[in-house]
Amino acid sequence: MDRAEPADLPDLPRVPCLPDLPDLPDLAGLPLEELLDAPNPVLARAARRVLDRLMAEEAPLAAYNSSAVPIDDPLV
Amino acid sequence: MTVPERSRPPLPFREFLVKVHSRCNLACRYCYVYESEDRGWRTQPVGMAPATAGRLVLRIAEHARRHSLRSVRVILHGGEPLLAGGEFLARFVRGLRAALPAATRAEVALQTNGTLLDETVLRLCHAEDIRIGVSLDGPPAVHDRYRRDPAGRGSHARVAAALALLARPEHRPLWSGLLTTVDPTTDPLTTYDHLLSYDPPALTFILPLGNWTVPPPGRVPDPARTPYADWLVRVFDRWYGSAGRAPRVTLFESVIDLLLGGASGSEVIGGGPSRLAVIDTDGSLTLSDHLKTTYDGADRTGLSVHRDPFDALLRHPGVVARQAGRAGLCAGCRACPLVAVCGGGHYPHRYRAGSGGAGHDNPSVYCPDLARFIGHVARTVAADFPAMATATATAKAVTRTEAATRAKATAGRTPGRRGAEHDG
Repeated sequence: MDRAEPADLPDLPRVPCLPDLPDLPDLAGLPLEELLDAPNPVLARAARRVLDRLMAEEAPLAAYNSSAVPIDDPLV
Repeated sequence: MTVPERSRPPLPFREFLVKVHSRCNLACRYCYVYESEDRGWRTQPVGMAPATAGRLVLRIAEHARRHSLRSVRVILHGGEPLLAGGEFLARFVRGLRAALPAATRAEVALQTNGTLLDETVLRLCHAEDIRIGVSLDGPPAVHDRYRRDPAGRGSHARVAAALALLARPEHRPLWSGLLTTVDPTTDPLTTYDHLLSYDPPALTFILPLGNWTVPPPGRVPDPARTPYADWLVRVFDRWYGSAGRAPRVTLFESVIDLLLGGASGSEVIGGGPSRLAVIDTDGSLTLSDHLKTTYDGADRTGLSVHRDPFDALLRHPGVVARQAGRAGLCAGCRACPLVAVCGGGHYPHRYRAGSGGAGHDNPSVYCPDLARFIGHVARTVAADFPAMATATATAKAVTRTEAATRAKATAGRTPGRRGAEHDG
């Protein structure tokens, strides 16, 4: 099914691509309950979403990338 | 494509992208339907015939019944879906809701270029409970560079007029958001400020569809250059610094959620299983239309609503591959510490021609951009919690199961005072 390979394709990157990847903070260890009171509402809402989705029966829909799709993923 | 063995039953479809009209009144220069590798639109009926639409709603209802779906999302799409006409759209949506089992809710959305959006259309959407998403790339100089009609005239003025209508209080509940294709040659904050000027409820930034064979504009082989991440970082910083007063941004929220150990709500990041079926105007059951950018016929399956149930599409290798999660990624991605967040990126972005049947077994062509952007978001969030970030340096990352246990323990807790709903 693939097309023939053009001669001048770029090399694939060596992953990981980020040179300082080991220095990335591990946010998955942050206590979500404490984040609910985060000063930045962006984070408080994120913590709420993560907690709600963890309690849901199934993971949220990996929705089609479209602005027509409501962002709250009410589909259950 | 290399398709791993399925280790669990397929997940039923919950999203149905319906091509109600196969042509468009614009001729956008970057359009993935008409300007990319696939030529399938040339042989599609211009509009979906009523008999095909009738068969389709029965198939969706059959799928909902068979899998006891509590809800489905149907996206009216094209081409330009409003070219299908209000009468067709109304009959289709009514027929859909009438055919579905009583226990299945239908969420119906429409993705439009905005040029045909008027009071008549809005009345229809109110009457039939249809949410509306509109494509807008930025101010006139940005939007009209690509989004022109066949005569070469820009469409910004018409879209702006439609958005002014949609933003009125009586119509605003219909509006789901704006869809913006990122152009890294533009000034990100000028674009962002222009989008905000319409007061949209949400923004969806999309990276142009491209791959290793046909790279996106500006995505050069040098991994040290990250034009898309550079653009997104500028917007993210403004958005994050707005302390929740800005509209929701799908990509930004998904990256934060993933970094916190949660799941993404978008197919473009996180690697969640796709549960999307696409139906062409002739009733063909196809894979994501984004695959049209890979090679001619990439999205076609040979299945049709006239012969086949959606369960037949569930068994197609193209669907299996997109429900495989991490097992469906290339070895390099599986070994990368960032995979828990990026999930390998958007499936069509991984394609490379001539890979011996393993066309998607590559990192995303946007890998350098994704890595830089995710790293930036992680550091920005961590900077808000220096004590916590230090504490987590030696902490074992929670698994979803552990977090779910914690979540259940705090069930019923409401968000903090500042954690109320987004106020737009």
